[in-house]
Amino acid sequence: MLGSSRNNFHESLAVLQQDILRMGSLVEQMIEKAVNSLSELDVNLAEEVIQIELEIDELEILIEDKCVKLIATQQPMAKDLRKITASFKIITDLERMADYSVDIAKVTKRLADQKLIKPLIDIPRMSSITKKMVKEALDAFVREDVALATQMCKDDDIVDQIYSQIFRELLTYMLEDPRTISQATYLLFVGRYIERIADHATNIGERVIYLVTGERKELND
Amino acid sequence: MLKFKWKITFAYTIFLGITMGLVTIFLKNSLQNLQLFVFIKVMAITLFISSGFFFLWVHQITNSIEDLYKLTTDYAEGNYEKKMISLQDDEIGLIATNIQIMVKQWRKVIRENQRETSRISTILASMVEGVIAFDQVGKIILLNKAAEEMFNITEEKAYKRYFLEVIRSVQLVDVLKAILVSGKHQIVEIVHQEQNYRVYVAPILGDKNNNIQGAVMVLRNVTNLRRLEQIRTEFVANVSHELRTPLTSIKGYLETLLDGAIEDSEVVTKFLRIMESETTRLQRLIEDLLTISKFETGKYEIVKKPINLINLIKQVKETLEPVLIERKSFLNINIEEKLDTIMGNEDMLQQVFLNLLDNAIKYSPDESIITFKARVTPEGVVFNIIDQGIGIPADSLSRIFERFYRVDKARSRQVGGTGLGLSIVKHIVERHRGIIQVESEVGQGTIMTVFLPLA
Repeated sequence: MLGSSRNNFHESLAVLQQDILRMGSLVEQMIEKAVNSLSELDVNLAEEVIQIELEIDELEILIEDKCVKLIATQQPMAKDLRKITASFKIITDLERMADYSVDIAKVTKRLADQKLIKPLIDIPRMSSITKKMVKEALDAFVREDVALATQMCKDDDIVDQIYSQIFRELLTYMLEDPRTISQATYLLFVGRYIERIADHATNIGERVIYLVTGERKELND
Repeated sequence: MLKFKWKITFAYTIFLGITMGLVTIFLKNSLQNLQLFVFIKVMAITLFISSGFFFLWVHQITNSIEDLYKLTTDYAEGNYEKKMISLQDDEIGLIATNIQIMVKQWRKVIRENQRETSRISTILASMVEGVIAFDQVGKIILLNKAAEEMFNITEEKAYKRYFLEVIRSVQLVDVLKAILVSGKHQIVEIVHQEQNYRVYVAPILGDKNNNIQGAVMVLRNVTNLRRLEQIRTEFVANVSHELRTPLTSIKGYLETLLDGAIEDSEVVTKFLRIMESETTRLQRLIEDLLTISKFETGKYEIVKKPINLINLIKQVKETLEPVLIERKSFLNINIEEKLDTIMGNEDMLQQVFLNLLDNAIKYSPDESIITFKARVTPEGVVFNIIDQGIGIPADSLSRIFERFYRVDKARSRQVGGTGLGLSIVKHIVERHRGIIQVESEVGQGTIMTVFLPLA
């Protein structure tokens, strides 16, 4: 009797993980589409991103409910409990990432009738690293892989570097020609958004380490 | 373990002994002492001899059973390949024969299965399409080599994992879920990690009642196909556009002339000049198109001959003289002394250098210096065309050899290119089994490097 309810519990945990992975891959998609929409100034793609956000919000509530139900009915201990609390936190991180992607999509809509002051190179580069971080963070969560979590967080430094590079570059554009200031500011925001997404990915990595070892480790410096 | 035959013999002896004992007690009163003694002796001998015979007989039977035991032990251990042995010609022997026949048939079935499995796994491994199979809850139970490469994972790692843990595609997981419920196959096209896949998903149905036991997914990477389609569409659009622009202009001037401008001789000459130049542009475009289509259909065989490089470049320079004068630019030619002849097709190579130098001059500011360098390496000849022009943005570098690709459409039309020049150059260089490369920095200039093999 006890054994079967334990089994049931682990089955529910597995389903919960599937939901989180689904949310994660939707977020990956959103980041990719948002940045693509910006570099092509494609308003339709930006709209798609905004549409996906609705599903993300639904998923967040669904996963939250499942977590609460699991805690209330199964009274999990130790690692199982940590897994559920980590899930709680991870979905918040994912939801924030989705929000930032929507912010990027909104920038696309705002810039749609202009011409980009320069073709985007660094922003897509930054976003593809960030996307990889999100994927690896969730891989680490599912496999409870501390090594992957630690290693994935190192990419955050690269993202930060690109961000400061974008900042310097856009600054020179603005100094050269004040007419670019408005657009350059928006692009700077986009850089900031992606940088924040990467930080949230690092947060997930930290939670994975806490989940497995029970220790809190600051990876985001 | 007390052997079976001992047990039975022992039991038989006791039984017979007791029976004889009882008979003796029974007969004790009716027989005389001497007779009784003889009788007991005879009985004892009979008992001894019959037990002996009995033992031999039981021994024979249990030996057959033991052989049968050894045989089945071998089978139980999975050793099916044992040769047929014949046992005694009794019931036990018959059982043994039957068992052996049964095993022989199994062996055949197992071998066939093994052959089938290995055939299927070979087929799966050699498929270009990725194949992934799932059980009824959506866990991966099979992943072929192509799928391993597509998603950069090994079958071992993916085995018994949920789809999303291995491949983060919400689109595909939705399709998979739908199929595990509905059992209806589907074809979808998805984009995953910037690759296009055409995915065929079908249910795996059980033998009875057609229960859904899982699903199988066949993925084909169609990225190149889609890219080619896009290039083709773009090509048609580009060609039409390029042809229409000069035509519209010619038509416009013609109409103006017909509407009365023909009376004004000064205007007529001016208009005709413009029409002539537009016609030349059209002609050049069509010639370029023909050249490129010849290259692309592969009908163009090149004949390599020794060419005097200095003469070749001199001719190119003469052709370019008007442009150089107009731009007040200077062409600096620097050819290594020991390099006098190269192998190749003179007309074609002339076109290559003409195109590259023309670009270098046109995309540089007035009064700039263009450098042409040639040097010999053990592998071949390396040419550099260096300018200090406007340069090419990094994201365009990989595309400049595409047909009609333009970094800045307005500017290219202004300098009068057909949009096919670099594409032709690349074709010619490759026909010579050479390589063309480009390095550039915006605002700093461009270096075009052409490498031609010696022979």
